[in-house]
Amino acid sequence: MTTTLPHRPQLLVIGAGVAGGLVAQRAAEAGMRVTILCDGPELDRTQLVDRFRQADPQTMMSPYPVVPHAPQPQVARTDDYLIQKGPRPYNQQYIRAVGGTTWHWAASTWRYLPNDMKLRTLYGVGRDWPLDYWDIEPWYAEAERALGVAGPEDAPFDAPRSSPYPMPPAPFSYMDQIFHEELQRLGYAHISAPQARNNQQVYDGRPPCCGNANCMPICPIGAQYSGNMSIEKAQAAGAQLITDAVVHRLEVGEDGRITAARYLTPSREEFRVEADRFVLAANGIEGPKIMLMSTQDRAPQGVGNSSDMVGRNLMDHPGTSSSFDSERPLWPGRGPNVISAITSLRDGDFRSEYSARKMMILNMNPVEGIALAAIDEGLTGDALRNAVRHRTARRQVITAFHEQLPDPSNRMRPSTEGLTDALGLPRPEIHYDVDDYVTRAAEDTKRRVEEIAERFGAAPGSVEHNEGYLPNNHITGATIMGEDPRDSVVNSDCRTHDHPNLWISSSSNFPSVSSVNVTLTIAALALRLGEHIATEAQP
Amino acid sequence: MTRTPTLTRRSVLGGVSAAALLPGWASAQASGPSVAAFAAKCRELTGFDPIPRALLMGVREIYSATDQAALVADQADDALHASLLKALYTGMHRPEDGEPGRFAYSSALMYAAVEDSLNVPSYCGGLPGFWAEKPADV
Repeated sequence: MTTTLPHRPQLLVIGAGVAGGLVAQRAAEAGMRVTILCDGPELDRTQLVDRFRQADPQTMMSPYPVVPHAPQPQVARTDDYLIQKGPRPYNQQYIRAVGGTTWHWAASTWRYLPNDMKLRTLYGVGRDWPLDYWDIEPWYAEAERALGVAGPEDAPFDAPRSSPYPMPPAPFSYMDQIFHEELQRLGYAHISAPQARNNQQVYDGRPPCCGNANCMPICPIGAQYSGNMSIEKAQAAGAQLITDAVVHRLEVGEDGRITAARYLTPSREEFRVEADRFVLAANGIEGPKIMLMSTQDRAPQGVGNSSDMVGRNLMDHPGTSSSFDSERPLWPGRGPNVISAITSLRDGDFRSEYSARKMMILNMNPVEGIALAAIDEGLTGDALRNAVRHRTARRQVITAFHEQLPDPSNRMRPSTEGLTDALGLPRPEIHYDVDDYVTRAAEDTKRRVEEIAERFGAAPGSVEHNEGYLPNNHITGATIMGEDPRDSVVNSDCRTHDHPNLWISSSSNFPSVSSVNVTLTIAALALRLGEHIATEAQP
Repeated sequence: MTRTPTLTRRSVLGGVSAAALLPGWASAQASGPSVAAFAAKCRELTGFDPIPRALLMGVREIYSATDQAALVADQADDALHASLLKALYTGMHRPEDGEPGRFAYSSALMYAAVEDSLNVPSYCGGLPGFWAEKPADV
């Protein structure tokens, strides 16, 4: 039996992370009746911190409760929910709860460069956005104010801007300062990373960061932005939040408009919500999965999928991570997890041949792995204690995000083998690979890290590189944006080509993934979308 | 991949015959060594003096009386030594044939080894912006 809720919102937002929260907030503050559906529960920061401290082991996901009705990929077993069909795994993690995946992030809030949105025109690869950078520049500024971003003015390879960052840049750690000196000598642009975190001031009611060194997986004091903050503001403006509501179907009416969303509760009761307008903001995998599960006579390939592009063009930032021991003690692990980045490889003519990159000096405490390795070497007593200390002060890690091009054969779809979750809904099945465009760049990245390591006195041949590619949870592409309804899912307003009252707010819309973290662009487009919908809804 | 030892009687069987000749071995096997004797061995192995009592009592609960006796009598094999050290340094017990378990976090010795320069993750490190200053030993 299905119960239709008695109230009919003007806007139903499916998803309660940054992408849904900012749309909902904007629309609610404009006076719209807004309801938000979230598939998972509300979370309490104090409890998350306690769970982290007690976790065994401590991972990116260990603070976050696992609820059977909203399974989320885990770090240790990424195949227990996502079905990996290869040839490479798409090992993304995301949080299905109010606030979404910005509960655990470095709060890196980069703008795309104008050229990031014109790959096809400028470099003959990938796709162009149907938007110009300057179309969304004011919304980037708005997003920076909404999230509370600290950043450097006029920094090389940072995007052009019409207004200053809301807060001055985060101070470099001692380690970053030394890297800055050396990297500049090597000819790199190395800048303070824009970040949605308070440094030495209060912003938007958030306290200044006191260097808990735990941005990932949980900021204990709420100094950095997380999506639940926007949800709370949306609620304060009158939006209604319904948690533990797992949307599994969108209904299409005679005129092609979406008429209702159906959701299941943890006990499998089914409800319908009818609404005037719908925004799908349910993550780059879960959102497209809802669309593909919604096959019906009026949408035989699923909602919004007349192009057959839903679920395709999956991208991430295939990552490298390289470690070495510096001659001098620099003590990574003091302050926020990521403070600085090398930006000079974000753009250039090389993009016609291989990926743009952003390289980061990781500022995370490495002591656990070092202690375990020293014990395995057989060290004991003072020799062990001194080795742990000596190595921890010197262990440097440089990571890199590589731009990946959209490829329709990289795709997610509901399980084709009938594999389901606890609610009986199909699990996401993923076919994914990384092509030579990335491989060429990754080889160049490793060579550059070795050159940098040599500068820091690392022994020749001592740099250790990860195997394969590391995931970075920047899930993009599966509802790709474009002007042509034949090969794209949403238009430049993030509205689906197929359904005039269905919009998508997600990095899944992005035609290019660039080489920077995607959240600020999600936020900018979400605010723009909220304004667009509120304006359209005006009588 | 690093081998993680099983914390069972099997891990010290190699040392039992010789150890059985030692004074007090039989009674130590039954009840385990005294806290003082076990603490002294932990101090020697880890390079830390003192060792936080909560950490010490945590590993006392994890390891069998037989294993503790073998450690104190210098009859434990390398795997048991490494297992104990990993537990004391990380606050986690990692049995080879079972689920890992955390019995301590902020008191783990690895954090004590670097405490003048690095705070334990999730705990406040100091005044905002402190990280821009030189660490203590630089």
